[in-house]
Amino acid sequence: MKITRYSLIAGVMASMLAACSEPETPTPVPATAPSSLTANILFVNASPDAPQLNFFINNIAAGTGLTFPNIQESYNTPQAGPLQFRAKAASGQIGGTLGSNDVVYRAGSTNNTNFTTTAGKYYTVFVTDTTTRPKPTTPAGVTDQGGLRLFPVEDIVRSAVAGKAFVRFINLSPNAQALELVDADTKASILPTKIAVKNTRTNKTDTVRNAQRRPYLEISKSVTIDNDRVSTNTAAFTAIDAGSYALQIINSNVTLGTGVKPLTAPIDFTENFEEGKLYTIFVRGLIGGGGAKEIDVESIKHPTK
Amino acid sequence: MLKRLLTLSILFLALLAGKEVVAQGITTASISGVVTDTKGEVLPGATVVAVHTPSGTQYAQITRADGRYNFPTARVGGPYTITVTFVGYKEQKQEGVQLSLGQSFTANFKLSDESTQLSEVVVSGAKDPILNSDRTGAATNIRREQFERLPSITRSFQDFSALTPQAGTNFTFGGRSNQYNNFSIDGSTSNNVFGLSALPGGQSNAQPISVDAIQEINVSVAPYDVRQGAFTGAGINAVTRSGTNEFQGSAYWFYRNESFAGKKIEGVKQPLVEFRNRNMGFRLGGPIVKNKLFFFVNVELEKRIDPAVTFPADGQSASGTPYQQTSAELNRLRDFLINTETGKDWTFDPGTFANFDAPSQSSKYLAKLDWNINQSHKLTLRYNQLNSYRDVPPSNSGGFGSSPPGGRQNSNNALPFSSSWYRINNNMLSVIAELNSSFGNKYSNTLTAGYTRFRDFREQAGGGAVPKFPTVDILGPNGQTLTTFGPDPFTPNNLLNQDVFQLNDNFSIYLKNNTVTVGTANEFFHFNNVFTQQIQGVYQFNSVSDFIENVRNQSRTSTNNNYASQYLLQYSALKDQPAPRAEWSALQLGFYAQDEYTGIKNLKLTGGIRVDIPIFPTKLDGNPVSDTMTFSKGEQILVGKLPKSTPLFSPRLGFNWDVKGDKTTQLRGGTGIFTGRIPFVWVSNQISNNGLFFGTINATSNAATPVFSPNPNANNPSPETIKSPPATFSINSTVRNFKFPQVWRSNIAIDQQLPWGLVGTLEFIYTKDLNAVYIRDANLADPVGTLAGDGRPLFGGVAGDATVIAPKDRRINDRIVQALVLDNTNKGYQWSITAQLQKNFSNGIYASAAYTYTDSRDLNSQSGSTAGGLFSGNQVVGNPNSPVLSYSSNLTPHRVIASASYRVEYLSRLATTISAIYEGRSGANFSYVYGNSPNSDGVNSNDLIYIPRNQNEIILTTTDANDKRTPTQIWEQLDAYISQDKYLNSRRGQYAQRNGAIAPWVHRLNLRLLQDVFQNIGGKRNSLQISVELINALNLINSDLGLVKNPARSSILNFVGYETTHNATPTTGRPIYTFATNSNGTPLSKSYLSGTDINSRWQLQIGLRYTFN
Repeated sequence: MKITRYSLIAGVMASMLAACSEPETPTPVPATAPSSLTANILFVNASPDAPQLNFFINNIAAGTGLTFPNIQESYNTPQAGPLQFRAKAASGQIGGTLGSNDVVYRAGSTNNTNFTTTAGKYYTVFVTDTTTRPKPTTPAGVTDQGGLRLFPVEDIVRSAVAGKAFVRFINLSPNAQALELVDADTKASILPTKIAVKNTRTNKTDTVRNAQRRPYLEISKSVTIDNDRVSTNTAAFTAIDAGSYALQIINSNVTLGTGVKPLTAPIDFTENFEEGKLYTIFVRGLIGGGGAKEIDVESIKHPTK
Repeated sequence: MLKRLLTLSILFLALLAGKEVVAQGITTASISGVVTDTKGEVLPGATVVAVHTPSGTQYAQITRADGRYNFPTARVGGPYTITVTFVGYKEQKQEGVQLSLGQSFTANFKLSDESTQLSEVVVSGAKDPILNSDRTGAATNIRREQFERLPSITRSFQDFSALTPQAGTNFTFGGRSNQYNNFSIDGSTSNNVFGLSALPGGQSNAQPISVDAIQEINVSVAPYDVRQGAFTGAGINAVTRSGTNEFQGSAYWFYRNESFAGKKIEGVKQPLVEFRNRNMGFRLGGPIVKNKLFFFVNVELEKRIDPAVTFPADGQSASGTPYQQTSAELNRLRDFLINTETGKDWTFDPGTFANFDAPSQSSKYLAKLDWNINQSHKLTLRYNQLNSYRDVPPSNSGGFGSSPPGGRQNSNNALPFSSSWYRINNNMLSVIAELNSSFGNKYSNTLTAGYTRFRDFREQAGGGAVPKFPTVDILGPNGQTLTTFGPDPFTPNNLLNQDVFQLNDNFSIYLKNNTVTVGTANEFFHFNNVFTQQIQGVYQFNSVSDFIENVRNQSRTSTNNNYASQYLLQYSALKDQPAPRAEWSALQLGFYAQDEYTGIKNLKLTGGIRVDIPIFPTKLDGNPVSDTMTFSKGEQILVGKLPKSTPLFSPRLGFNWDVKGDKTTQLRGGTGIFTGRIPFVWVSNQISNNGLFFGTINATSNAATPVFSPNPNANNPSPETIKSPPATFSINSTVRNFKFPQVWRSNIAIDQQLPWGLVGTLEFIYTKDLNAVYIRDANLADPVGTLAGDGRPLFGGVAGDATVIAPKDRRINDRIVQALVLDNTNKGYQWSITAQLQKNFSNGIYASAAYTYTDSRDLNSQSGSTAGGLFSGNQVVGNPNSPVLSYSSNLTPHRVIASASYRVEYLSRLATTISAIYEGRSGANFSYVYGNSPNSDGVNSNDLIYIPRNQNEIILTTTDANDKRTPTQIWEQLDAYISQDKYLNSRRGQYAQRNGAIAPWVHRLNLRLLQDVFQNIGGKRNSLQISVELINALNLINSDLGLVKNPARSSILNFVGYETTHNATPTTGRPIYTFATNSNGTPLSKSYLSGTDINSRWQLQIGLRYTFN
């Protein structure tokens, strides 16, 4: 009997010990250094009545004292992924509708979503619109703060081609209709009027109007192909022959956008496109804005990467 | 002698917390013993008669050749008088014997010669119910007096079954899921075998049986008696009251509302939503023919009213933030819907958005007949019925599509119209007949037949038909759902019918030193389940204006925004069945044999074997597309094949050893295999999700969603175009050789008589899973690599892309979304150790206290009903198809349960009872996970976090446009949070464990005060009783006590993307996370928050009862 009792107890102790082992989990392999992959962000002050601005990416300083119509001298290299873009007045307030609030990039149905970047890619972020843009009152726009906007575009470049420069045209005037960048003499558009967009799931492609022909709010609107929304970065660069050009901004014969006005007169300018460099031509200001706020064209030569 | 008998009877009466015997039957008790003369010689042929005095029920037998007699199926209760007579000897009696459910009472008699002087009568019987030779495994009895005296605010028997030391929360025992218990009332299976809730009436918050109808409950965790089966958690057997020769009755009424509850949590005033709860009923028992035929009836009605709207339109939060819902917008919508206009000829009344009553109601009826046919045959017939319903708000789930942001239910952002509420009905009806027979003194038999029927269905809230209209969700300006109208998407056609037949027979043979039992226990099930989610279509619009313009314009141009932003539809792919159903049958046959050997002095051995055979006879259709596919590791899945029948054997062995021979030290234990059932909904999932029944439309782009139509079938594809199966579908199945759950359970315990009349028990139980259930997705490809900066496996970035092959496409077969397979594993174990002290006083007091430590590990805690929920609800680090053993979510590691009661009668007309139950237990366990899915396995919120040691180990970014912190500041907040959390801080550099974190200790003290005023009228006692129940009394003393603390945020970090895009080319980028602040911008700094609902407050319930006799 004693033997039975003790062996029973011993058996119980043994199973207790077996039961005490930790559950198995895989071995973690954590990183030992901060993120080495970065995105590249360049800020441009493209709003005629914006004050001098300091920029922040994820609340870390990313450039100070940028006035209209200047661009930063080099790309910032923050960590990749979702990033918050913020602009504060270098001194005093932004003013206007925003008052003492900052200009922050806002997206999504709640106007609270940040901008998503991918490692190794390049983005140009324009400060656009006017400080006095009113806060929308319709129920759908109630989280839009009004005032200046931050408008990022991805800088998509194909590899360098001999003898070519890379040019794109963006219409950043809040009240201008669709415009076109043409050769002043031939009146022919120097950039393709349509670009191809592909649904990567089904591989179906479609062509959409290039950015130059869209009011700026239409530039990054997505299109539907095969029931999927496909984003169109229509602000992609196009390779054109390097050289000096006499250029003109004219009204496009496409009607897009509501509440927009045509140019009263073409805008003339010349530009020398150097081989291998990237240029963004953009229209800023308001039709009938008067003085510094009047509609005009600017040109950015993107800093080398 | 009288004093000794009185002591004996009071002792037995006072066994109110007594941990009692092995349950030999589950509806009766037994009496047995040996008759000898004063010299110890056995006396065969003596006449033994046991009479249950209140009913005059008689059991009679002649002792056998070894002097022994048995009454194996004696009615529970008492008091019994046992009389032994034999020619030439003096008659002997034992009086005042009380029998407990499942108890085997031993009454031995030493007869003295007629001629000898009557000296001290030696009546030896089992004095102590604990130190009793028939206790082997862990079991707890809860008696009628405990139901009458101990506190319970919901009058649910679960409050009493929780007195079992090995109980956990939510009707779990021994750390196992509550789906694995077997609950029977008078021997008929009464748990909800389909498994949508553990017990009938669960979905409408109703109880299947009133506590006034219960005579006794026995909870057996390790019964080595093979007559008990069909569970691997615990067997809970309830026996209802029966009538006696005297009419006895009682009428009662209980009431509580929100003003009877605490107003403050941790010193801060927290308003409690109003409610009213009333419970009333009566019971009556008595004779129809004295000594022969008795009846008992019980009727109980419970009504509760809760408000439907607690966040009204135009309201605001305590801090002044206005709610999103405004009466202006909701009235504008309502006016549009109820009026016609040009181009809109239909109308729909969405109901109201103002507050209305949401009732829950249940009515329970029980009727019982006991017939003493003669001394050898006794018949019991019992009928009981439950009708209950509850009005419920619309579900927050998106079903197979994305869920409405922020949920549909009333909150500071959402106010659904009353047309989207539904009523859930749970109706149950059960009859059982039991015939107990004895043949001579050598054989006895129990025959049981029963039928239980469940009818669960849904209606519109308030009663009435569900409208034939689609569901429409409308978002508000802040992007969260603002309102919903049209029916709840999961309600149309929703129906579950279950029919259960039972047939059991148990035959016992009494031999010298051996009692042999053979028997059979069989159940036959029939199910009809209709679940047609989103069959009337679900539209989502971004604003009220979008919806109105969409209806008005009925066309889309590229410039307006009034498209539906999402449209979901699941349509029937079966031509002749608009609402496909799963109708099928199952059987579980059981056979057993057992021997009880008492040949060795002071030792009782029980050995037996049981075999259970589950059978699925239903023939199903195969799926011609998926049947030919190959899945993970070359597996083939045939959805038309239910599991084969595999006989499952359960051998068991138990012992009880009276170590010193004087019943002061008892060693008992046993080992054996137990076979249970799975919730049948897991099998029903295979039948409904065979890929053939339904097709789905999931449109999420503005141009692809259809224009709104009030016709719910407007978008059903025309019958000729329906492909069965559709383009993409999911399948659920079971492996061919699937076995029902089986465990190997052993226990060893010692009961010791201690000084001061205490009995101490130390008990150890160990359970090993032999066949546990787990679920895997056979269509999930192997991982493509490891997650950079983490080390866990990473799955393919695309799903179902025809141009990408597995594993870069994480679906092996592109047409299959998920192929969930229910499989077996032998991993898993539970063990517990209990220390218990009991003191049985003789003057109206009893007390008991027990501490239990439990450990429970499993691969999948299995607390869901759908296959999808079982799979996606299991948190892992690595591959969800290979979960590792971790803590069960059914585990309560530490538990103290103590109860005490004192009753005193005075002034010959008054009686006061005070009773208390204290439960102290570890808080609920939970898992720290990432929001979304960093391992890209297609399942969100199932990934356990890695706890970083420094900022290099985690990439953090801002949460949104309003976040004012830099990544370093976010890291500092996260680091501070980890440091203050004991669990996380101890696991820096490691992954969190599934259910490894435990919320703080919970104290619960419940008190009850009963004041009786009674008066004898015509020889019968009439009493009026006022009762006051104070639940969570500690919270009344101090609003910092008695709180239930919940994790502030178990999805502590949110995954928001990789450094490089993860698509067909697997990323080498690290994952990026956010760690949000609280909604008011302050950092999350504490791991736990006190709940503010009713569980963290004191509550009072008052009652009035009139009792006759």
